[in-house]
Amino acid sequence: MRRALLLTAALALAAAGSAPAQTVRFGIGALGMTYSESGQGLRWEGGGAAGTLWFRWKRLGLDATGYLAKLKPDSSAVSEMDMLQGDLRASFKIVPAVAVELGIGHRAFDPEFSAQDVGFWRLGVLSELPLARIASIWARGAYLIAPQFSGGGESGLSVEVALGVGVGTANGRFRARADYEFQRIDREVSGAELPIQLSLARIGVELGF
Amino acid sequence: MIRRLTLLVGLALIAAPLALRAQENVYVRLAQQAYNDVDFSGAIDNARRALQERLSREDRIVAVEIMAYSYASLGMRDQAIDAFNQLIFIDPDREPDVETVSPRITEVYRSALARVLVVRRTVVDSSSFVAGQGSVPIRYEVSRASRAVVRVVGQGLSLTIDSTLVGAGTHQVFWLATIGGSPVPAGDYQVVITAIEGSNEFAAPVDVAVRHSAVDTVAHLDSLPGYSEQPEYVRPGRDWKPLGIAVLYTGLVAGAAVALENSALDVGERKELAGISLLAIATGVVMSIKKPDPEPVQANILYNQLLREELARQNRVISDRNVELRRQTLLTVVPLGGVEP
Repeated sequence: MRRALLLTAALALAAAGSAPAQTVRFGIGALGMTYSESGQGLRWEGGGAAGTLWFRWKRLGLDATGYLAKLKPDSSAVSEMDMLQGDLRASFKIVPAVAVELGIGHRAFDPEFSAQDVGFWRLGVLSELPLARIASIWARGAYLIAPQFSGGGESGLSVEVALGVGVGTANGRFRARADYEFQRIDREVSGAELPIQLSLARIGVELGF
Repeated sequence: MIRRLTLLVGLALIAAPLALRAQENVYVRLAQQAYNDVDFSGAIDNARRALQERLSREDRIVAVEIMAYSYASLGMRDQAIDAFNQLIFIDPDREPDVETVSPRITEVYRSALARVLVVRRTVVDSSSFVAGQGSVPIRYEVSRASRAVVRVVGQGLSLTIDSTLVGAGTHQVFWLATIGGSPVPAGDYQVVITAIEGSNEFAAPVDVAVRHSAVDTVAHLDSLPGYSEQPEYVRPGRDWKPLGIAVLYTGLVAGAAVALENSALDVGERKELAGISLLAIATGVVMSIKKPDPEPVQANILYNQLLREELARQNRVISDRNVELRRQTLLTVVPLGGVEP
């Protein structure tokens, strides 16, 4: 999974070098999030940094995102942990405002086993509409396919939804964006339900080329 | 008595008023005075005396003219014709004015003119034209049927423009002022019209000047007259569509997120959802309130494109024409001493 992420990111960077102007954006941002797992009482909150790569060429699109967050529990029963997550989404626009997305994602925690590392495929739709020439809003929803957990187990319902808004300069060089992402994975281990849920907000700036 | 008086009045009427300028020679002045006093014999005597002296051209013309008019007034036709013939050779263009001179005199003049071969009333009109696309008219009158040869001489050239048999009367030829398709060199020329009848020959020269100048070029067009470009971007009226879209998308995602929450987990205060939802809706509000961005008007863009293409096409035609015009030479032909066009 990690190898696939690295390979896709390298391809995206190579494509960005030869793409026409303003089809590539690099961004950084700050994030705040809530992570819940395995029933009441196990909830972490925290913040961190995010980096994004956004690439568009004709109908094709590629979004790569990396998160690094430090999470604190609201209970003394568990310890603090760091989260590292990477997401990669490739999209193909089927109509002007709607694209289908296929992607992969992986989330890991440090220390190991402080929470469930998970990797998955995703298949969903992305809808983006302009609010003005300098602003747009987008929403996405995806089904997470066959999540794999570090602690084993199977998954039932696994979905994610997201909302984002961006405002930038007319020439597309600079842009501010804000994203919300919600993810739910119903994990089961030997018949026992051990669900995972993540809610994340990110605010950042992007530089376009 | 009455008969003598009638004769005097008749002679006075025949004697045409000679509107002559003050003459230098005394006999010419005396002849003129005598003619004005209806003393035609005295006028003839004084004119003869004058002609025996060294006279200026103008005095000679006046003396011969007084003599011719006086002979005609006295009914001495042959002598009058001889005098008029002398006048015609000295100054072919000088002739009695039919409106002020007695028909008796003008008839004698016409008879005299018909007996000699002369070229008269030679006129070269002032003209300005592009070399190869125009010509300068040359008019002349011959007194008898003859061969008329029109030549232009000057700047090392001797060009025969026309050589043709003509009848008595006025004729016209056109000079292109070119040689081998190129304009003749600028400078002074002499147009010589020679009438030939057997061994008789008479030549009348006219001096002209030929000048070269560049042909005016046509200015390029900045716009097509009567057509103006239309605005390609028009700012639409303000609307609340951005807010509507923001609310719709926010509502859908927020609703889905809340609906999908796992009740078995502690969901917290939904700060992330609330914060981004507020930002999205605020963006929608701002984009609705702010002045809308101008939007392209396809019809106007196409119209302007057509207009620019037509303007470019017309300017290309003008450029091509200007290239052609710069190769051309504007010729101006003016008779020397005449008035320029």
